[in-house]
Amino acid sequence: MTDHDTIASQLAEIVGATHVSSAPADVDAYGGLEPLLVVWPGAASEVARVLRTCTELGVAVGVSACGTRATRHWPVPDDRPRIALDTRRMLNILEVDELSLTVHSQCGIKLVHLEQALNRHGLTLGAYPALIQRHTLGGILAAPHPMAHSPGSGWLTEACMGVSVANADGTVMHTRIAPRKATGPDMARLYLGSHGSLGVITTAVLRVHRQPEQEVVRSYTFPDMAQSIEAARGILARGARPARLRVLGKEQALVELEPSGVADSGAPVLGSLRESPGHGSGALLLVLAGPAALVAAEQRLADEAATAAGGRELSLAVGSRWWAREAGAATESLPVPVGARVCYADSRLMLASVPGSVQRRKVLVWAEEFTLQGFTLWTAFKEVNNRPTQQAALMRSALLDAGLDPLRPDFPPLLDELRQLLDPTQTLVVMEA
Amino acid sequence: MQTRPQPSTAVGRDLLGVLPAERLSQGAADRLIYSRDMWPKSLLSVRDNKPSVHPPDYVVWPESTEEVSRIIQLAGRHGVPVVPYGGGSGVCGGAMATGGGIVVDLKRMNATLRIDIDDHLATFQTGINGQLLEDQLNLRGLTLGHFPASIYCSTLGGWLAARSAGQLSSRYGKIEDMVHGLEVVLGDGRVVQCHTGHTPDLIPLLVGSEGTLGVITEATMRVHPLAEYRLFRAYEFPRIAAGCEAMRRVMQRGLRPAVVRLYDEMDTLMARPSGGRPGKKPGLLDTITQLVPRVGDALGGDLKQSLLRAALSRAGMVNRVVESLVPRLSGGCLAILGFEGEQMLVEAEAALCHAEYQAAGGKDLGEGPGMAWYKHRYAVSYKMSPIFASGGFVDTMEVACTWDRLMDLYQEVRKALGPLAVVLAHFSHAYPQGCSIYFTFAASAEGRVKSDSLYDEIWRTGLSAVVKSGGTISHHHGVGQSKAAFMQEEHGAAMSVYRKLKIVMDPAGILNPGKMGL
Repeated sequence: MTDHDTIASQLAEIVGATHVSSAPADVDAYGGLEPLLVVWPGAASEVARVLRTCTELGVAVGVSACGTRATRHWPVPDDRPRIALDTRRMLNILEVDELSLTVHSQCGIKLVHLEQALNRHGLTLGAYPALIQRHTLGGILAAPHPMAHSPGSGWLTEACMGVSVANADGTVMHTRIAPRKATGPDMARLYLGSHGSLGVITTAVLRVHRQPEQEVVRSYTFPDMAQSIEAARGILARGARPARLRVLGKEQALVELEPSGVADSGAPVLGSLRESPGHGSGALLLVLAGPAALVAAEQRLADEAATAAGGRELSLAVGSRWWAREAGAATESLPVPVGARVCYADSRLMLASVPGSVQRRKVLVWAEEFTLQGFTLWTAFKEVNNRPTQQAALMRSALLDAGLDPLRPDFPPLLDELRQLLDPTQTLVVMEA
Repeated sequence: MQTRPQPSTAVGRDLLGVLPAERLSQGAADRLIYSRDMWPKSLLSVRDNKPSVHPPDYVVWPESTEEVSRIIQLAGRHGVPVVPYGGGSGVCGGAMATGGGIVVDLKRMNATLRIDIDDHLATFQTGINGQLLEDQLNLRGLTLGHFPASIYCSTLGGWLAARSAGQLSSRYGKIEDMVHGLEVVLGDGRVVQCHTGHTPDLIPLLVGSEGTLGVITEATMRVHPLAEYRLFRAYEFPRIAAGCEAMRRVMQRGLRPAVVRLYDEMDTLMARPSGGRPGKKPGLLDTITQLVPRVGDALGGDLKQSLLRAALSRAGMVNRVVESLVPRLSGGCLAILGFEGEQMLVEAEAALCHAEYQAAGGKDLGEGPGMAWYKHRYAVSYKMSPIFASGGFVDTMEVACTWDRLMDLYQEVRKALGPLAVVLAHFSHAYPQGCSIYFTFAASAEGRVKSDSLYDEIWRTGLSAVVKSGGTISHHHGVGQSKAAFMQEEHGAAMSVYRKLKIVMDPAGILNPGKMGL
């Protein structure tokens, strides 16, 4: 077995002695991995050499893209020594192409910092929830966050035009960048969502957008959550492409729209939610962005669709405050839901059966990731209780009973086979972050 | 009824255990018919009376996924190639049985399995013809939004296998943007179901794999409400670069015209209905003869062909003549915009686009050229025969790159191909990040051998220029055989990942061998 000093000195040769540490304070940050040491490479070539060296030495590598939630982790196959490879030094934005609206960046950068840099060029990643801004670029590409979606710009992973990847054998590949290709499988997509198990994403090229010329927030309340969903579907079916679209059940609306319980002007913000009998069980929030004339047309269309579905407009202040917080402009942040569970719903099933079955159970409900095909339904518990797991299981079975598909986080079996070929010694270990 | 001869080989006898005799053939006529697709290079063979360079040993017509799976398992046992076949309209030689074996024609698998109006999803067997699929959706007030020029003679499976693009791609996306789920039979006969929502998503790996990783047997597609309103605009730009700039600005403002087309000077002559014959779209033949003022009109058919052949064999000269004539040609560069959807949005987007096109120097031509294009939008692909009949050949090379490289790529390819072929180009699929360029080239050489070698030289030269300029070698026709030699340059180290995917999904290596540079 290779000893600690051999590993440390060989890795130090690659990344420099100051970028390898076995100090307890550094090593302890990687929890269950219990690495011998941590290494902070600065570039793809260094990542590749670290991987090759570790493969040769029989050392397992846990990759940490700071901020990644690893939802699946490979068991460490044996008692090999393990190291942590942390991408936090890989912060460089390599190119902002204002002509082609792309950004090429190293993957250790936090999305919020990437967004700030883009803003200085009048560009933006798109209207994604503030939540994603906690993650690094590499983290969100390797382990896509289910909420990283905007009806206008799609999934954040779809914004990825190409990647550079360091493979376990020490090779580096760069996928070809083009607006669209017809040259076989899209190899970049293989690594998106692979949780670092097939290779380490070192840089990515993303599609970006010009900052919107105009932004309008609309918010509506409905007698029933199903009607808010019907309105959302109507808006999309008629061809509008809102930057953000979110539907809230009553409890979630109270959490998100009325955090302090009192409106800016002293009047209850959600007066209509609380005081109008038979109203306020659902809310629809909408951000329309683009050239003014187009936003005006989309707004008319949205108002029509919301009214047709039984909606009533909420005061402007409600929507504006919600959006300020969502966009990260406000300092207050939402309470993190406890025991959140995700389900994919197609719209027909949702309309038929879900609101009743979930709302009877005093939980937070909201819907995200709207497309013409459906949306994701989120449920969470209002407060931590002593048996969150059991409650979550109950909720899950209620949703399944209602005919909803759970999201499919399973790693397709074929990719396990591919992993055997790409990383036969299983050097790469996905760790729990 | 004529009975087919019974297969004499072990493979044939085993196939009869899977399919009834009438859905299996090793007859000469069937093998001839299925020996090629629409790759122009194979049309050179046809003209040379050698139409069947790569005949398959068997043609089978399965009707179910299970039959496809059993055929593939059987082929694996015998080590015989399996080549999936849809409409046979591909232009890269991707459906040719270069190593013999079994051609699996999926066109009997043409069922519409489910159309869900509420969820905007529709599931089909992949052998369904493109226009029939669209008709099925239209009956329910829906559209796929996919309108390739081959729509009458191509299938859903072919579209998916080659990453096809339709003419309204800037609104509805390319075929890979429309897939919700796939059923695929892998090279060992395993049937896998892929859904969006899996991570990693297998769909982008299988879509575009041109039958090398699996045979796509069913697909669930995202569909849209049929548009209630459609509107066209056209503009003329003095220079191609100004037209490209207008396209870029429009796409980057988040506007979503359904049709975004721009023709270079030479292609404008082809695209624009000529004065004397309203509504009739000239082919390349007419265009080239028109270049010699007044001569073209005076010529009869035979003379026209001779002139064409003479012109094509002196491509460099023709290109120079065109360039010197450009300032005097009335055409300039034609740009077409089309919009569809809800009237309120269409009018807002058309007005915003109009302002951008005018600001970039476009002269308003009204809606006429756009309506004429729409009427004849599928016609151009059927205009290749006269060129081949005249002794020349014609082919198209559709490539793409980001906006920052677009003009360089356009000029480099023209410069590289100029001495070898008459070259025209249009830009027909625009995105916020870049655009495709659709080059058409025509040339002529004496005899089969010289024609073949000139044809190969043109492709080699053209694709080298594309790679050097930082473009992708295919935007929507796929790779097949015609671009296989450039796959390593296209993908670099990623090509070894593709080879590993191949080992996992097709361990016996029987699926469509000899394609894609694998």
